[in-house]
Amino acid sequence: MEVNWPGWLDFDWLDLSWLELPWIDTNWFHDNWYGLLLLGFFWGVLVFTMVGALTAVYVYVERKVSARIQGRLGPMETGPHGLLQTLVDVVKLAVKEDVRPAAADALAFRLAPLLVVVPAVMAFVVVPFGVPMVIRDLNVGILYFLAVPSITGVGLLLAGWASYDNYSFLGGLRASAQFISYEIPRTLSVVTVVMLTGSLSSARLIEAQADTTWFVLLLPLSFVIYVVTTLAEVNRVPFDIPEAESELVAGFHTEYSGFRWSLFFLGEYAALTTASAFAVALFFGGGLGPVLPPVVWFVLKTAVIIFFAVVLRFTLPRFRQDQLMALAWKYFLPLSLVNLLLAGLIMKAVF
Amino acid sequence: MLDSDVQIALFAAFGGIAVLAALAAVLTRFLLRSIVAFGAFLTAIAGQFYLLAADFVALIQIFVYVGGVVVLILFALMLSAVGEKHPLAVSEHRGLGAVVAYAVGGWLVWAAFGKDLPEAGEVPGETVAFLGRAFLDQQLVAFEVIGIILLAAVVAALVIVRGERL
Amino acid sequence: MSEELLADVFFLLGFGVAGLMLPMVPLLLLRYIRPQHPSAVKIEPYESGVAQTTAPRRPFHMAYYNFALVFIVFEVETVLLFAVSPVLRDASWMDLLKAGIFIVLVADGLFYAWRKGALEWK
Repeated sequence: MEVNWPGWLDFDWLDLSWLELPWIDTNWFHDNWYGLLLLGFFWGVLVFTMVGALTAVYVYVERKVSARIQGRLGPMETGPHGLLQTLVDVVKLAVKEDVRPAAADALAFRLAPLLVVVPAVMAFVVVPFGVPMVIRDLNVGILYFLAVPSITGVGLLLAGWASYDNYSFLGGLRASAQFISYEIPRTLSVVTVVMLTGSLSSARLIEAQADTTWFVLLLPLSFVIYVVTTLAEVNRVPFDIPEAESELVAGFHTEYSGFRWSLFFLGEYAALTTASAFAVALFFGGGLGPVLPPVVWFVLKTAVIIFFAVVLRFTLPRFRQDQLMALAWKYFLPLSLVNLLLAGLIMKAVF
Repeated sequence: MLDSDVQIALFAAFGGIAVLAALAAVLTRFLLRSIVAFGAFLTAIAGQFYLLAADFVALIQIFVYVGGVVVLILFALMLSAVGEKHPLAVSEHRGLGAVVAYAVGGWLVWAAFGKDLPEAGEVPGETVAFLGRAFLDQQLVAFEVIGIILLAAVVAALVIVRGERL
Repeated sequence: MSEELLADVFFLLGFGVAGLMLPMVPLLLLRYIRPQHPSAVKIEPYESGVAQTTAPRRPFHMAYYNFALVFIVFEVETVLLFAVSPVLRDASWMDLLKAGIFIVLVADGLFYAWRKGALEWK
């Protein structure tokens, strides 16, 4: 199970021990509990900021790509070719008045955006950028990646409920029903990958694909199920009924304004980014590839999947809610159960 | 420095949060806050599981309980005609209830501090592999019976909720 | 091994604290920059600009609850499969059969719910 990469490519940049700072002994961080807390805090701040910046880029890319698809130019005024557009939007959102309906439940109203954003960002801890490069290689990393974002379902429900608004409430119900329905096929498709990996650790995932081939070639059906169900989990088209503009105003986040609203937005894009990154790790071998450093390969592959999601958004019409639920339970769930049995056979054939 | 003192401190921290959350869940008059406190309680328990070197079980706790059961209870709350506020329930049987509660609580405290508890077993290196192996070898019957019980649960839940005739 | 798990707990705690603080701190700080001009109109719920006729939070379709119930059962089953699947790779055909029986039982539950119409209507 040895991955033989040339010297510097095999290096674990995330370990930070290569920083030869004379006044800090980086091993100290791993030896005691406050060091670990600080390390975790540091990484948390870094990842959160990075995800925020990535979302800003992502929004810009989406607006430009969608513009081209629709035969127009997209943002061009602010900055050269509209590059500063997202920054300006963030500033605008930050200084907007925080309008809150009087009858809204204060606790739930404030808690819901946090429950949507924080799990999506926390899932980033186990994403493998290269074989040794995971922020924290938990023994149960893959389960962690699926378990922590499941808290988002609670957040969606609270958001719809807290706004004292019929349409928001309906949007919240629909959003969380959709979320939990697609969770099972998604988890089952990851189970097939775990079968081929032999472990729940995300670093082992990449090692296993280095040994055999990319899992997308071995488990194409799992890949398709994973991508489609992930799009449904994140409320992307064609599954974006809960937040469709023409349907329920803005669905469960109608009553949110300014910065609080942007947290929902951030949560959705963060979840999509993390899920795409993990899809690359699960099915496309993470950072494996000749010549270029693993991080570069990883970023490239993730960018391809994200680009695909963006293009899909402006290509397909959206599903109706009942079509959506029927698709999950009557189509994807039986399919993923059959896929499990199939994956068992494939696994026996390969190993 | 990751020694037993730190473990005890962490246990106390998680346990404290769990107790506070449970108290909040029971004493509040708003149903929604009660459920949210319950969610916090479950997360604290998940932390306790992690301290017992049961990382897999801890994540299952989050996945199934916080991500599933809390959603279920919220659905039940939101789809029913129950009002949001409810008075702190004053039951007719509170005398007997208090006696039972104190008796059980006292017994648990005595069991925890009074007698010698058995030593914990060896922690397996790979918790998940150990569990998986156990499910397929020693606990195979339990594993398959769980499958049957889950099937029965689906049937029973639908019968109760929809009034089906099986 | 519990050393390593303990280390993980602290790391995740630190990460979680950062994850909670980073959204909340700007939210709290920006309060001093945000305008605050509450008016009677602004605090009403939106509802596409029309006055709210029915109070929300009234009883709704049972269908959502059906789905949540079936979801719980399948989630437990999925989690058990998560426990079993890492060892399946180097396991025998008998082990695959055991897991297969479990999957069939679960599929049976899905089939039942389907036939009984619990999976209808949104």
